Amino acid sequence: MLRAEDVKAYYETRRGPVRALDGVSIALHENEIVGIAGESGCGKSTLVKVLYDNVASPLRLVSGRAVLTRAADDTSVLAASGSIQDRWWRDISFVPQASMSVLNPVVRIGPHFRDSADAAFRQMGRGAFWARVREVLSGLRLGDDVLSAFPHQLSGGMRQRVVIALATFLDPRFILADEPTTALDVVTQKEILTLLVDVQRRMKNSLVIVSHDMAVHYQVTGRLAIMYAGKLVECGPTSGIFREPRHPYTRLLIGALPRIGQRGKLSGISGVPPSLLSPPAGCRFAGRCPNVMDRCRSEEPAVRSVGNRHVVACHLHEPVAEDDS
Amino acid sequence: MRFVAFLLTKLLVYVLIIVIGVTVVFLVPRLLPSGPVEALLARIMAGGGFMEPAQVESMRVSLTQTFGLEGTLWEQYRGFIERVLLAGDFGPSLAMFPTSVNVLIRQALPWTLGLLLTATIIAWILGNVIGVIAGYRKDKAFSKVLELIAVAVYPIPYYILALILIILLAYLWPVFPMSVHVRSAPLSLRFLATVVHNSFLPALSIIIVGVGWWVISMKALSSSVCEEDFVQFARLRRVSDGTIMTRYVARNAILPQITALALMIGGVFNGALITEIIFDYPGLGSLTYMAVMQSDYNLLMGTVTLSIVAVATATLVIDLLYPFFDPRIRYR
Repeated sequence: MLRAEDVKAYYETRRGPVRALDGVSIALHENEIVGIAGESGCGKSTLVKVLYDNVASPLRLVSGRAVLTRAADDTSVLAASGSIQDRWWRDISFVPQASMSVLNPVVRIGPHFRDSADAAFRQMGRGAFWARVREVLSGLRLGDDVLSAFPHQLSGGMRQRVVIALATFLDPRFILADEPTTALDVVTQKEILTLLVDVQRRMKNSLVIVSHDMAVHYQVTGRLAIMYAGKLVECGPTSGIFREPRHPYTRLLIGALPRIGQRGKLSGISGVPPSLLSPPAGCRFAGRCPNVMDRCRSEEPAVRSVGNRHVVACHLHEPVAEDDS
Repeated sequence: MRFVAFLLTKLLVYVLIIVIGVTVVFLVPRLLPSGPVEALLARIMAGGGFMEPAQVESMRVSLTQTFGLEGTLWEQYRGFIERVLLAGDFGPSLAMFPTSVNVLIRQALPWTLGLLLTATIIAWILGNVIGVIAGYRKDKAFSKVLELIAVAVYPIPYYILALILIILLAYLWPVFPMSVHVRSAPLSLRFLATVVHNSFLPALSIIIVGVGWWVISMKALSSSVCEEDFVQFARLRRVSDGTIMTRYVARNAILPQITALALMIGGVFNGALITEIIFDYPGLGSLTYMAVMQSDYNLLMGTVTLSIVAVATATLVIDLLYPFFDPRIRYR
């Protein structure tokens, strides 16, 4: 299991700390696809950085931790000690946002596989190693010939598939994909998403997809976490969230999606997110929320369960019993 | 097929550059008010010898013939091109008449090449290795020290540095000779050892200045490559530090340095005037200097043509070799 426990991670800037993550907890289980959604600057990518233990200046982990436990022996590996980094690429791997430029332009594709797997190469031996690489490539509908190609000779979609092959060929338990399809055209997007899901089904590992595109989450994720201004506002099964979104922000996000046969203008969400240099007291969405109440501006809503593994942080969903007083 | 077309275009450009360069070399001295014949005659007269006006006139005619200065400009040019480009003959030196320019260049060339090629290549390798390390580990203390040394040494004027070396290593602690005392001798191991011993100080002075420049430029190049996505991603996928530094950072940052090295090797054929003067070193630089001071047009044309051909050749070679260094570049 991979989880973030009450993580506060701030970017240190000259004007003060930018509170990109302010008390976020999330747990990722084996064999599931989790989506992380939210608009730009909500902390999605920062959360992935913390989960991947890739925290480097100016980002600073103020409190909380990321923990990677392996189901087999249940040994905890703590991020704070830097040892998730020791598991990089074997137990946890990463598919970056800008896959156009993540391959070394002057080196052929083959050595890229060899470079990131010294231990595995020694363990498996030359023959088994390349057989494994070929198997993964063919699973992604890539021929052997890409191994001898230079990155610039491949199309954008092929390069992204090579990156996915790189991230999956050592059979890691967790794959974190940060906007894996954002730089691609819609046709290739669909293809890459399908392949990612195929790979996950075969390997039965768990896949995290970060995307601002709600349609992507609807299509592929099993569970969805929605973030707003450094906070987790809602998390639950994707189907449940799309059927009955609890948080007003989620409702507005889903309402902004175009529907077939829809007439009239699509509604956006008016206003802009608050500054993370000096976030407002109370609920951070209060300024744009159509259901805002007085207490939203002073009291921060806690994350509460609304049943069926579904949690939400909103005063609208407080248990009735507490309202009596 | 595409390569053949590419090669032919490049060769055509190569020949064109040399012809244009040599033409300029041919024209410029002829635009000067004083000619070599008059200069030589004046020198003979100043020597105190007395000559009848008729003798002077016949001497003028014969010198004009010898120097290839008779006929119209076009006839001279045709003769010049035939002689220089096709036969590779620059004629006699005017200052050291009748020694031919070819012989003078042939004597100076091995000295210049031996010193400058060795020093340039050593400085390039050393500077780039230090530069990559300093750029890749820019937060480490030793990187900062290395860069500080490079930045401190680089701006020292070359002749000051050379004089400091002479004072330190030839005067205060006399391990090397103050100036070069070897002249041509039959090739033997002993002779080579003397040459190396004599050339050590001039080489060291060139290397120190060169290394400073290569360190500064390579450090800048590699620290910008370090910020590239493919280096960051290599770190995230646990590529070992050594591999990232060599195969990812150095391999990409070195590309502009290869071009710079090729051009610098072309420039080697200019000689190194200040080095040669300070260390009394018999190279092409002093030869060119002498040619300028004594209006020795043939010699000047010889050394300048050599350097034009050298730079053009270096450019051609780098054009042809570049696709081997950077796979994104193709012959086209």
